Amino acid sequence: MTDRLGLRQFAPPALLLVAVGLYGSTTSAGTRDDFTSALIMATIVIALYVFVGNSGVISFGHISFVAIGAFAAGVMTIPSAVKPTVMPNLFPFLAENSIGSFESLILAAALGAFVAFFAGLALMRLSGLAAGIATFAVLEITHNVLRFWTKIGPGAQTLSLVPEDIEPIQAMLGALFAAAVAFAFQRSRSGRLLRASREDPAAAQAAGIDVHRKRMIAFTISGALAGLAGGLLVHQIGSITTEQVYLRLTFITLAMLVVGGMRSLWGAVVGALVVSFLDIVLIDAESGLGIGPATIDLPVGSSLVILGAVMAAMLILRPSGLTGGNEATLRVPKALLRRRDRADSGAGKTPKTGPASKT
Amino acid sequence: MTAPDAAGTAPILEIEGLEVRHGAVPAVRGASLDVGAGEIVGLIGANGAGKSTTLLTVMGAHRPHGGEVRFRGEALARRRTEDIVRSGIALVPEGRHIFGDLTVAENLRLGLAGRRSRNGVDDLIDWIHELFPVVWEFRSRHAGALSGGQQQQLAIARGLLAGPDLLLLDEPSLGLAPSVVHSLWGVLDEIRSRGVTILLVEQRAQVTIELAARTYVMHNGEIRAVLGPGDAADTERISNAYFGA
Amino acid sequence: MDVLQTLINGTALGAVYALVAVGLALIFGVMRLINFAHGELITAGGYTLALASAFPTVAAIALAVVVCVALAWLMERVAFRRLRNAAPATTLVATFAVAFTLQAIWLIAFGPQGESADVLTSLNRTAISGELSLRWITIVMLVTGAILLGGTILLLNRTTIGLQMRAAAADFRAARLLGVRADRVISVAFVIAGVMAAAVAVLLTVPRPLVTPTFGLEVVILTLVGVVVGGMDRLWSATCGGFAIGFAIAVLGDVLPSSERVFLPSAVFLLVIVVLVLRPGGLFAPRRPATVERV
Repeated sequence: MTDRLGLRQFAPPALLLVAVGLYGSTTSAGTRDDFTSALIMATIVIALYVFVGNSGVISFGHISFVAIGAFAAGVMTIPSAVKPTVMPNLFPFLAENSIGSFESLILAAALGAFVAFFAGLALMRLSGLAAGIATFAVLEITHNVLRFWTKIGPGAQTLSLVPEDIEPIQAMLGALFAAAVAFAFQRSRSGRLLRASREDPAAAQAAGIDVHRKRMIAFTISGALAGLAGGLLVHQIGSITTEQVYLRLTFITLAMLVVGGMRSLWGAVVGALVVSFLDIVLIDAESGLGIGPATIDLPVGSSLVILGAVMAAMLILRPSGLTGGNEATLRVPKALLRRRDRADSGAGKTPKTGPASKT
Repeated sequence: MTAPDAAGTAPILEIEGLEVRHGAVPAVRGASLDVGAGEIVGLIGANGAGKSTTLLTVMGAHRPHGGEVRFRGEALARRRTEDIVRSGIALVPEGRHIFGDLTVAENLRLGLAGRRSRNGVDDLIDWIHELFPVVWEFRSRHAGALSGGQQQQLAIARGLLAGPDLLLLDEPSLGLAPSVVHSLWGVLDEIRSRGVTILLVEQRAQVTIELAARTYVMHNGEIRAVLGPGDAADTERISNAYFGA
Repeated sequence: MDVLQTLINGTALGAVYALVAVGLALIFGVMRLINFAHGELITAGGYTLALASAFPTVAAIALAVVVCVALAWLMERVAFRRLRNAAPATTLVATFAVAFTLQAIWLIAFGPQGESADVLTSLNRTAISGELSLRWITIVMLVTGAILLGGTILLLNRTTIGLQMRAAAADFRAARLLGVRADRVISVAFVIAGVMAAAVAVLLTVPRPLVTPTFGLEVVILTLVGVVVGGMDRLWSATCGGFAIGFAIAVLGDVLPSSERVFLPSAVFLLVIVVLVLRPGGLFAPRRPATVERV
């Protein structure tokens, strides 16, 4: 029964991601890019959720792992012949080797996990404000190093000529993978113990839960997923700069998570997709968007204003987010359930997003 | 549960069918009590019975889900705490909540924040220094340096400086030695004789029942009994009501 | 003499950052709110000075003060009042959101290239030359910092509203139960923050007249780091933290050769992490926490 519930709770975010991926792959080139971006955003937000949602500790540093994944995947997939011209100061072992795109995703995830692990060793004792500032420091250090250490990357210049082979379907698979990992973690013993410590770390520790260790696990996993997302990102755009994975992305992904609902996977996915599409609509409106007979024409740059205002309003008026921090449970029609499940599930007829139930 | 007060006029404080919840957990379920002007009325009960919640609801710190609180006939619902203070009610909270880093004098000055008018402040201050000599003696010391009993005196003095007609006290005897409680009770009696009505919330049943004109016993958010000073020796009746037999 | 000069420059910049820290710490004290958007007050002040460059200096400064205070009051009234009882994570991100929204507005209104605020640029001239070379602006920073910080201390310790603010910062509910007006105390905190922001805007536009949309954000991020490292819980430790970071930036900027300077942020932030791991409550936090760490 528990597994069936698990599947029914995993289904809504998974199905939503699949729907977005499938639909996106059928649209025209420009729009396809938007869908891919939305799915990559979802991956980042899921990564963020794995740590922030389960531990209750805010992190401003996750985009560091996205950055590390993006630059690692990017640097290692640029053809070796080209590398010395673009990045003359690179370490020899980086300059001489190249790997395929898929391998670079694995590399990105591995590096993300690695760096997160070491950062986590120092940071997992912290909570609240101290954790926020310390993780922000990680972001700043990563940005600073990537921007100026030309032995490992292009420094302040744009890293380009990266193979562009991420389309909606691949991004969807990446996001699905992240969602599956996230879901598996939150239902695992580690994940559930970590959630228990969320409300009252002191009580949890008194009960024998090693809070720091549980946080480390979540932080490392979330670092891996964020690194993966970075790999996806660089292979979508074909280039990357340090500014693209810095403050603005930090703000947007964090706000997506809070808007969707920090405490559930459903919240992470909903938040990312809803805000991404809102952003797309608003940017379209900047160049004249037709809705029925009317045309909306916003001044350039106002999409960010509206987005920011919407996010601030959501945080102020409904801090638990759109989903209230709850997972959505798929309601399966009675006829499809096996007899013994019918008795204790009380299913209704409506498929997909039934009323939420608390995790 | 209503008892007519000595003067036969309407009670200064009426709590009727009060319901308060902390999230989903009910803390006060349909409690009713009255306090007549010039009385000392007691409210006793075990830990978690809902006594503090009742006082805090009177002060506007909690929003009731049902029932009504009336002060001098007027409903207090949805008024801000600072306005309720200014209408003449002061609370000496459980645990005293003294500002440890401020001096004793500064703590007292804060008490003046809730005053309705500046009249009579000097007389009041003189009287308070009479009642609580320690407050004058330690006026320049940090309040955190005072002993428990001294802090309690400071808390009450601070509450009185607002010039309230009704003084709510939440477990003033907490952590104090019996002799200190005894002298504190004498002070409360004197305060009452100066025209300040007192609602005294306590865990110590017997001493409260002896002091108050009438004592309500609360268990699990409900008023279970009303006891008078004559019942002070009836330990069976007290513990039945207290522990909810 | 070089050392003395560096120390003086460091102290001057430290004083400016201390003013920012006061603005942050006062609001945190009474509302437990970390106001990321405080930087936007500074940016607003900067843009006001830029737009009012043609006005007489005093008028321009006065206008900046008005704008900063008005914006601060507006922030509180429209956005932050509702956040009073929200979870710390929510307030952090919400003020972050307000800050970004305002920055986007500056971007639309003024463009990314920035506006020039030519107020008091005459202060860039040298006041004392010779072995010790001081610009007027350095002296003005020191003096202004001292006056405003001194004024704040006087306000907090000698006035009724100051006493109420200190009480509210220590135990908000207990203060309210005594009749302290919550709204008044919070509004005063925001007004003071606005005044501080205006002063910082004036002082920082002298050596750096170009006001960009992220003008204030940069300052606030660094100050926030300093404040948390110093100890957010108390005004004096927060202010010391702000001073320390300003001082460190100026001194390290002077001391490190240019080639090494690029990795300065990494060094500083690494230090921040070390301090926070060893003393999460801040460098100057007492062993026994002043209030329950609600964040």
